[in-house]
Amino acid sequence: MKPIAAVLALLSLTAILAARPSPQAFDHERHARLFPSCDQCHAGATTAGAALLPSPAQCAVCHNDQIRPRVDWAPPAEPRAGNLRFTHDAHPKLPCAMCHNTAGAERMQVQRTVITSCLGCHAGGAAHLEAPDAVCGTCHVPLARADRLQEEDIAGLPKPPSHDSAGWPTGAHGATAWDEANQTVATSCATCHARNFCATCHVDAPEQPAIQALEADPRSLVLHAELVPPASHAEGSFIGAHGAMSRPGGIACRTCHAQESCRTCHTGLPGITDSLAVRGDGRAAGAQTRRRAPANHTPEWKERHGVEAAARPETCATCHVRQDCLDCHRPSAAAAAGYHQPLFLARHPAAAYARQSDCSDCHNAGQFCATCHQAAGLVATDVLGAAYHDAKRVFIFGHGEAARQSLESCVSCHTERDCLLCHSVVRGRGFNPHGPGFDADRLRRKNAQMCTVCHGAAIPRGN
Amino acid sequence: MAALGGLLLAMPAQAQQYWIRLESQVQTVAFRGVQPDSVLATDVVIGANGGRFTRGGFAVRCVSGQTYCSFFRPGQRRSGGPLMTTADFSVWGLGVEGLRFKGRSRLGVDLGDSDVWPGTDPAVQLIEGYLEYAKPRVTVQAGRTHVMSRFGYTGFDGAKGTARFLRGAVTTTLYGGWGLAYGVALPVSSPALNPLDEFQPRRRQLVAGGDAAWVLPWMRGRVLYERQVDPQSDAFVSERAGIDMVVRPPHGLTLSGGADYDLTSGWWGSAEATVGWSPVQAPASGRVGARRYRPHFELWTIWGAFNPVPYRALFGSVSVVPWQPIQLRARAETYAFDETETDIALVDVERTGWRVGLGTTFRRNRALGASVDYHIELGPGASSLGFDGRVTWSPIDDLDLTGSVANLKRALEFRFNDADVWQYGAAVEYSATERLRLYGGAFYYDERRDRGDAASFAWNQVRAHAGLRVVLGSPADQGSIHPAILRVPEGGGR
Repeated sequence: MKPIAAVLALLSLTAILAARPSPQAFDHERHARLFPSCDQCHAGATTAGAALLPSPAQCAVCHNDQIRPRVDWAPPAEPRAGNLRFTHDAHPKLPCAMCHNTAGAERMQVQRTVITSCLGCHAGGAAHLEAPDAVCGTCHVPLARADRLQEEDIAGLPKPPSHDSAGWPTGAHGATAWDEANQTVATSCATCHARNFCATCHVDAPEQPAIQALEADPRSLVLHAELVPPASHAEGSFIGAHGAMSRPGGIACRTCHAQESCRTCHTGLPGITDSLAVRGDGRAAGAQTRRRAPANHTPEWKERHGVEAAARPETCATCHVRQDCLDCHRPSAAAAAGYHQPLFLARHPAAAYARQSDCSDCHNAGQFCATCHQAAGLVATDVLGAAYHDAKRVFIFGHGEAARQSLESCVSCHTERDCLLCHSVVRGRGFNPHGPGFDADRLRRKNAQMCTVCHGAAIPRGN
Repeated sequence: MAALGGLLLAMPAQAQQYWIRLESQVQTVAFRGVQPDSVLATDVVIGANGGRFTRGGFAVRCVSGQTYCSFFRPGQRRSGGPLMTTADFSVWGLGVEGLRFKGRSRLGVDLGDSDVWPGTDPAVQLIEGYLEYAKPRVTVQAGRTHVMSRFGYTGFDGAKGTARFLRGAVTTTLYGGWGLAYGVALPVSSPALNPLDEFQPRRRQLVAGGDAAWVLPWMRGRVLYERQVDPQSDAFVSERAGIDMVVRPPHGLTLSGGADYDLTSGWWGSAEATVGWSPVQAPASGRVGARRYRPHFELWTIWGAFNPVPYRALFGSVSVVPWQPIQLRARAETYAFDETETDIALVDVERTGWRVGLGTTFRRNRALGASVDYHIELGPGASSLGFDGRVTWSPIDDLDLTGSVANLKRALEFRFNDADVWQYGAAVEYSATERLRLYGGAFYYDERRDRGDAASFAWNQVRAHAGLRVVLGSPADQGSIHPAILRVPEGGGR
């Protein structure tokens, strides 16, 4: 945070104060001919101990309802809130116009402060937010000592351009914050920030000398900061590589991570997090991590994990503790009942017709579906003239579409025998059942025996 | 088994460890289906709506020129009482580190009067039982085992081996043996799989397959292949290849996808691509994707030659926690079948469908939770809509009491039959000890099946269930825990 904070604060204060409506603002230009010199009203600017603003009595010399209407004005009881070190006493030899007039302006076209004048002397003419880091303290007090600044004033402090640079949140700001020559925190940081602000992100705040060199001030929390993961964390290999990176001499994980961050996943290996701090007073909570299953934990992992775990339990131990295993390998209150909900038996036609899931993964159609359907009378008994499909008056003529869509449902009640009544060359009426994508030559190569069921020995070539 | 017996006898008994979990559940459940019947065409009368009916008011279907017309009448009530007991067991300490025997078997009998519960024949089934040798670089299983992949659940009696290279970044699995039928631990030649006296293979198929996977912490890619061959004809029963991949980039994203290709039919089977979003510390997560589903039929049957068409679906789901005790969730999917090339003007069949589900869960603490879900599904063949709600109260840590209510309306596209079911139920689960859990419940079903003829009926029933789960293990303090689990540190908990 270099030239920044000082200029930043000065500009922002100027902007804030200038933006405040002043119902009794004094129109200097209208009074130009009455007051040939500034110190007539602002004696304090040139005379030590005198008031900087005029008294109401001075105004009443003219504003007495006889010469001009009376005005109801009194100088403020306290100087304006701010974080400036400036006093007129310290600048006795400077003409008023140097700081209160822009170049070429009339004498009474005054402004509160022309910052470029300050920067011209104190910062070599640099722009406010780009002034050298060390000079911020020339004009500004640290935030923690700007007692009268309100939180809204602090929230409105301008952000230096450096804070928007790509590497600022992850690394650059740290290098800027430490004043190596003076072994303390850079004044530019202290102008706008206090220790509390840094501790919103820094888990290692108590170990960071730059942060500890800052004074504490809860008002600093009005400025918002959030953790930004370094670019390395976005790399696909990061999960696998982070262990090696975090070892001594590696990347400083402790800046953003507390032990709790690691324990989200490393439940079984608490020792490996010992080099990190525990969340507590003066530290940030640290990056919030989320337990994520590795890529091999696919839906069928439940079936396969036993083999892998028996062979390499050390791998499991990276993220699991024994209790995780015992949750299933011993009965527990969380043990689930069956796969289907109790009402599924009544609901299963819809789920089965539309293949919400693959029933045959768990159920053998012959043993499971046909056995029950047979007991319930839901099997074809002879010719396909029975009345089961009574919602479609001529269903037999249009059954092909339903069959190609939901053949698994058809065969839970019908046998090949039923279909061969019509769809067989040798035993039926020779209706061709083959549809889109049928590759006769391939099927014949793979299993000619199947073709003989309908075609007998005379299997035709092609489709 | 003989080798296992030898190992068990050869090793000192005190070195051997075992773990057994027994779960036994009994239910009472009733069915009421339909009974096909016929009537002389000359006895059919014309109803007020112009349709044909029996004199008893049942709608009939007549085929011109045939003597009889056919119809369905409500069937008899049939009661089932399945008692299913499953035993999982594992034995280790066989004198060789990494060696264990793992098994799972099931006993199923129907105590009801109709013997209608599926899966109870044969009564005893060995679901898996294998000897396993597991070391960091290799795992080998021999016996009845299985492979779970995008092809489904492939069971077989044979061997499976997995090798790991580059510190586990690359794994290869090969397997082979005599196959089991899909979805069941029985060979395809079992009479239990052929209730309708269908054509059935006489010999079990030979299964061979494998996969190669590249696994990194942020991604996993796998290619896989499997073939099943009929040893009698030396012809393919099934041959498929597939690929699937999961990538987990930063920022809570998960990208996954996969596809399989049927090498026997020469077409793509099912496929899917999904983007999941589950940002760090965010009170919301979501998932969107597209998928395609096409059933796979083995070449034992002729169904593959009937060219089942796939459907293509777009889906999404979102879960939001607007404030801590409340979770809101929604899911939706729309799908459309590919062209079947069978359109005729006489019959109009739905080709598209959609389903939506909405739900919310309230859980203030461990002791009290409630959830309500609504779903609607409209599509070809059958549709349904309804809701279910439940409240669970745990007055003490080991006791869960649940009350539920649900309603379901179901319409069938190809049949005049609208079912309306209300269900009211209560269930209890109690952990008597760390090794014994008891549970049970009863659900009252109030069901009406509406039609425009005499086949309408209403019937109510109570379905009840009760069960227990027992864990037995070696008597030492942690003796019932698998040694691999003991190598996982206890840790500080989360």
